[in-house]
Amino acid sequence: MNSPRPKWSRGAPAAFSAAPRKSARATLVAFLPLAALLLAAPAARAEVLIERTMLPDAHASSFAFGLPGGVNFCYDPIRGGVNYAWTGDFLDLTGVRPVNKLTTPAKPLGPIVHRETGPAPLRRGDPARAPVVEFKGYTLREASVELRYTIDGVLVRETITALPQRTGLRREFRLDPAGADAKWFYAIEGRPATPLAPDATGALVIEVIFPAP
Amino acid sequence: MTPPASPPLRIGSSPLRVCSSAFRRCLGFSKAPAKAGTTNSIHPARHHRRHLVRTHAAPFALTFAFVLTLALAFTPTARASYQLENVPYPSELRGGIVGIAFSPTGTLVVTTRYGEIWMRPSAGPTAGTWRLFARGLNEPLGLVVESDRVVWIAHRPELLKCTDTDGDGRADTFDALGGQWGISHNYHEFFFGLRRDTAGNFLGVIGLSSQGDKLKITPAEVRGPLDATPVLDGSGPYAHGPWRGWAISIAPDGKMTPLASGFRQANGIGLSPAGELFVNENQGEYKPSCGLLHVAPGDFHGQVASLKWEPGYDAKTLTTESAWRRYKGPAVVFPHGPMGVSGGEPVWDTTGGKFGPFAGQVFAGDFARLVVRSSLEKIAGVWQGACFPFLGRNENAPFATGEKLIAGATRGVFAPDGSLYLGATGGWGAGADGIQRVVFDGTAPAEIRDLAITARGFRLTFTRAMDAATLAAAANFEVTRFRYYYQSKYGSAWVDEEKIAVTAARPSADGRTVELTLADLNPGFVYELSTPALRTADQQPLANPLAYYTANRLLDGSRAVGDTTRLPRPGETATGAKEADAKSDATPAALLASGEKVYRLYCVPCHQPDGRGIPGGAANFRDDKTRLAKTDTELLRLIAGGVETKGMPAFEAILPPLQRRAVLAYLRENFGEKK
Repeated sequence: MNSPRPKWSRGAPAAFSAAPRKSARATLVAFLPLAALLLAAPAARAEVLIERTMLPDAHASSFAFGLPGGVNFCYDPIRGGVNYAWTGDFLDLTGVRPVNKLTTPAKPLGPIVHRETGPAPLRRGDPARAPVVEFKGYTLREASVELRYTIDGVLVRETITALPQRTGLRREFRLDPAGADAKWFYAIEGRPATPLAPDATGALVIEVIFPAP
Repeated sequence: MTPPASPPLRIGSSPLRVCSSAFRRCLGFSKAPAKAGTTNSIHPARHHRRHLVRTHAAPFALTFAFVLTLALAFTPTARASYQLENVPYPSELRGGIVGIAFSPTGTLVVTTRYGEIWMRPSAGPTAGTWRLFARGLNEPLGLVVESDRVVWIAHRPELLKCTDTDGDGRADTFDALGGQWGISHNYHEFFFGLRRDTAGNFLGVIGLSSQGDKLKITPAEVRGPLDATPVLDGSGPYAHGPWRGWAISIAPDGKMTPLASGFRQANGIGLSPAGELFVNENQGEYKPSCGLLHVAPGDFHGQVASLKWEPGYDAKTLTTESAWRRYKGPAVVFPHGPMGVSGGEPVWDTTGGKFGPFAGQVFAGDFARLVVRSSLEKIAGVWQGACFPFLGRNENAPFATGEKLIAGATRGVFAPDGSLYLGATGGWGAGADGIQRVVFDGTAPAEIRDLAITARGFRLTFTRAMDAATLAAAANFEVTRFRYYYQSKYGSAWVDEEKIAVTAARPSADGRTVELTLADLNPGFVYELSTPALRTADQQPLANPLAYYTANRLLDGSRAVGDTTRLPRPGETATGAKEADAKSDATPAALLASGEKVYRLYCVPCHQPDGRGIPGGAANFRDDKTRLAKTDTELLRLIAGGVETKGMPAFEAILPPLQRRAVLAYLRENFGEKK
């Protein structure tokens, strides 16, 4: 995206990453050979992978998405957010199918590099109040996923893409005009809430930076 | 005498009639010289091959094909009314078919337990080629195909509209509707569907959670409130989340409306041509048997767990008897055992005769290698009717030929050409994956087409003219009636079972119908009708001489509380069916006779009449002798407790001890080591 982002969306807020973005880049350069190996390991993905089944640390019927490039994440439509992300291969589904019963959840095939807990992090008006979330659907694009849901009745279209070289996730929220009358925050359990402001295109953008490997 | 003139030279001529000897010579099969006066073919060596083809091989091939065609036409092959075929699909599809439908353009669409939608167009450049339309769904157990680009799915969490917006053949946009019911990780929390009424509302049933799932449900993992308080004794499947065990309607705007309660696992949703909702419910706790339920708003269909979410529910006033008094039983009971063990999707024959003489009737696959046929009638304002075995029991010509019906076929749809497509899945204890197609060849099978209630008995209608003598003999109609317990235990034995004398049989002049008069006709019973002695006018036996009629009402409107169930009486054991068939002092012959009956009613659907079972599921007694090598104690324990992983019910709740012993005696006698 060419439009300049407000300061709050540059780099990685502490709430979303264990390491600042510059530090992450530096680490990535330092371990470039290793990173190159990691990038080369999984087969190139031509499309977004998707499974909806029993996943660990998530409500029933949560999503596992695998973005081209090897960034994967669990989106929990009941909680209303990304519960965690991992890099590398996608999922081991042998615990959930083809079997008669769900006895063990599907297993992410890579290290968990980001985790969020608590109620839905996108908040309207009061960052301390857990919002009412209602899942509405999703769209699979070539290299991204659009998730649709309402937060306190306001329709939100969230597009999630992978940052280059598996460094993180880019989350872009576009709000229904009905939501323009209030301030919006991103609040993860145990972290201070971050106020959000629209960029030049009217979107609220967050970059979730993964810690360097 | 002048020698005969040399035959004229002919190049390229092909009178096979006169050239056969020359042909043999050409091939070196005959060294005999050409007879004088016959036509010879003379050709240069370089043209030899061409000559063989043009002059001899091509005509020979044509003649061979002609003769073969004639031979096939006049060979007495096993022609049959119904041909069963396997429908091939690519290995990537993997099977697990749990939804099957056709688009308005004739594209075959299936959903799988792997969470995918596949399409096979019937026209255009990709006709006959399967393609993946969508994936990432969660147990999509039903579908409505709006077009080749829009498919609605009933899957665990919600109703999902899957749209291919850019026309590339793959769905890209998914819109979720409904989803106001509770869900957890419990493996059995299915959303059974899917049908759409004329107003555009989608209809389905939310299944109960299984008590067999050992996972602990925590509030952090569920959608909606979690209420774990038991209903009545709390045994059996449960409804800790809202609207589990309810039939629901979802409007196009996503608003969900609960319609009726009391469901367990209604693994088959159907709409009649008149737009009435029927579901095929599965046997279990408070569910004596499978059957076709007619669902109307406000109904309670028996399973008490769902009542927790009914407005005004009061745990203090609910009793088994109060539940039973409002229980609406199946319109057509599919007696557990002879008519399957786990019913599937009911579909109406709207082919106008393309599928044979059963237009307007209902077909439903069952997990245990059976397709049930059912006819409905409205008596005193209530739907009820009969059921018959269709495919699975008789798979021989002249009734059926081709492939054998696979187990696990619980989905069905009529194709535009009038054939019946069946979708099958393994993975629920038994069964197999596959798609099959049933084609009617134009010859009416010999069947009881219909069984309808009359003032004093039943009227049978046949698909073909019957032999007058066999039709007029009342002794050729064996009628037994029974009902079930309404109880918290799994299923029920047949109770109050008794033979009912047929006092008169009055055939019609054309041999197409017969009116039976019974010595006693009461509502609240299932009537079993067995007619193996009947013959058609050309002396053929009936393909399936068995039927069951569910008499919820009589013509005068009289009915019984609890429809075809009653409560166990004080002092009666919960499994206290009559044990007259297997008394402790019964002779070995009597014990075997009783065991044969038990096996026929309860075991045949899975273990099959020949004892060879279902691959991957029910045991094969014939070929695996280890099955019956166990001691009586071990086997009786197995029969009593069932095998949950294989879908075998615990017969302790269904059969009294002596009947369990009787069936074991029958197994040893027929399939044991000596045999």
